[in-house]
Amino acid sequence: MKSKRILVIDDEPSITRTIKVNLERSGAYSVCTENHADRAIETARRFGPDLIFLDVMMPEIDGGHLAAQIRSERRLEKVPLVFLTALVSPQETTANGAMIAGHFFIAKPASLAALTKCIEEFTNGQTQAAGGL
Amino acid sequence: MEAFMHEMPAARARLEAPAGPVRLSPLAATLLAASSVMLIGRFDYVTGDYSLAVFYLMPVGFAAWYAGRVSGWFIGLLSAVAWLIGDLALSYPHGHPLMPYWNAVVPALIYGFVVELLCAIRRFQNELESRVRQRTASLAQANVELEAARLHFIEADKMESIGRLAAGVAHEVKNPLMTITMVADYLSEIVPPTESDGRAMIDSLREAVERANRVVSEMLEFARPAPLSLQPDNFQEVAERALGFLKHEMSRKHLGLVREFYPYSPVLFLDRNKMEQVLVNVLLNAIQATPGGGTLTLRTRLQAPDFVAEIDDSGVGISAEHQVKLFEPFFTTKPVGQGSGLGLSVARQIVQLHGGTLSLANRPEGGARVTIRIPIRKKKKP
Repeated sequence: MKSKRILVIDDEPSITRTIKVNLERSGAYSVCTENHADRAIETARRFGPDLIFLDVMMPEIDGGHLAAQIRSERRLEKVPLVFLTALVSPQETTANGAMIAGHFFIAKPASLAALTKCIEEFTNGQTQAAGGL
Repeated sequence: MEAFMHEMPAARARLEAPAGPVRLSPLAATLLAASSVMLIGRFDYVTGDYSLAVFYLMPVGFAAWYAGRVSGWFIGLLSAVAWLIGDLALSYPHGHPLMPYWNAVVPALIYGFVVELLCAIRRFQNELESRVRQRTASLAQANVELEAARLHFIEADKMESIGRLAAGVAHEVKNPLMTITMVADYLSEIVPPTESDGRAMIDSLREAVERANRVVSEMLEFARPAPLSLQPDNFQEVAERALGFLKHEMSRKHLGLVREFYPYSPVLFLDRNKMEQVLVNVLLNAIQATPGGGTLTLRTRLQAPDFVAEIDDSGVGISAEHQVKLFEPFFTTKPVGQGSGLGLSVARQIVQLHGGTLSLANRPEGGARVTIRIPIRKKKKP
């Protein structure tokens, strides 16, 4: 079975590294990581992800701005995009994330189970259709 | 005379308005003035018209000042009559027979003028006093508003600072927590279930992450409260759910719980999750403040236009020193690591977003009482 391609964009190398190790251990995912927001578009074009996890607060470009740039790319416009952020509290989301202002958010710190569930839902096209991502 | 006084609206008004340092009822002032007129008239008759019309000015002025225009005119006319009677009684042979009447009319007119003048001065004085009272009241009101605005700006400034701080702290703390969570997940995959020490270490790691995350999340919640989702709800059900979360804490301290729910539970517009959070925060504080074996009481009642919930504990109560700081963010009396100092602040903020109030005070019989008031059937837009 073809593994799902996940791109993780976050300026914290420890986060991208541990997510990559955990997801790839299952054998179901192929993970590419990017710690520099200004190189994220190029990486995304090259990698061709099935889903992108995107941090919000990053030094070069903030997550919202980067999401708009990704959406403007023809090859990437339909790729599900999930924000991973420290700025939403668990009260604002459920354990599996939440749709806020048209974007899907997962509150940090998120568990591997939450990330996996999110990937499966989005890449199966369920939430994408519901959420308009 | 009393019936006559009741017919004098101006005089009756004096009964209600303070008249400076001397306070006489209009009736007493009129009677006193009338008695003086009699005495002056008697003196006038006995001395053979040695008195002067000007002597009557004192009782006339007195009556006009303390009992009003009608009373002033009455005493003025009485004085003129007294003057006339004296003149007629002495009946001097010289002069025109109408002269005593003319002599009485002239002072009567003068007394009337004095009465009108004094009443005008009195009205002017009353108006001035009234204006001063109004200005003083509006000045006091302006001071209250100014103080409220000052506190509001301080609060807004503090909230803005806390908001910036919270966002910064959230970013700096939650990112490492994310890494630790991922590491814990990784370890839980590679440590076999038979390795009990390893599993215990992983559990401890997760608990520590959860605790740190809770503190930061409370801070975020306080700095930037999420909008409420108000729905018609039953407070008692919400309270039972909150109590359910805390039953282990209560049984661990062997605390008793008394429920005194009002039999009729009105429909309130509540954000169920938020109100649960309020009750959990408040009840947790009460549990921590109550020594083992104590009792908590959860009571609800109606006090129009509010629904009131009271949570009583049987602890030591709140010291005067702590009373003023209770709702300050980050204030806590708990040992380090056992509370963020945001629980009560967040609870009060949520209740205020419901259009209600949350207060905390000592009970006369000992312990503390938290009182939550929520308006009944009033949907407040968040």
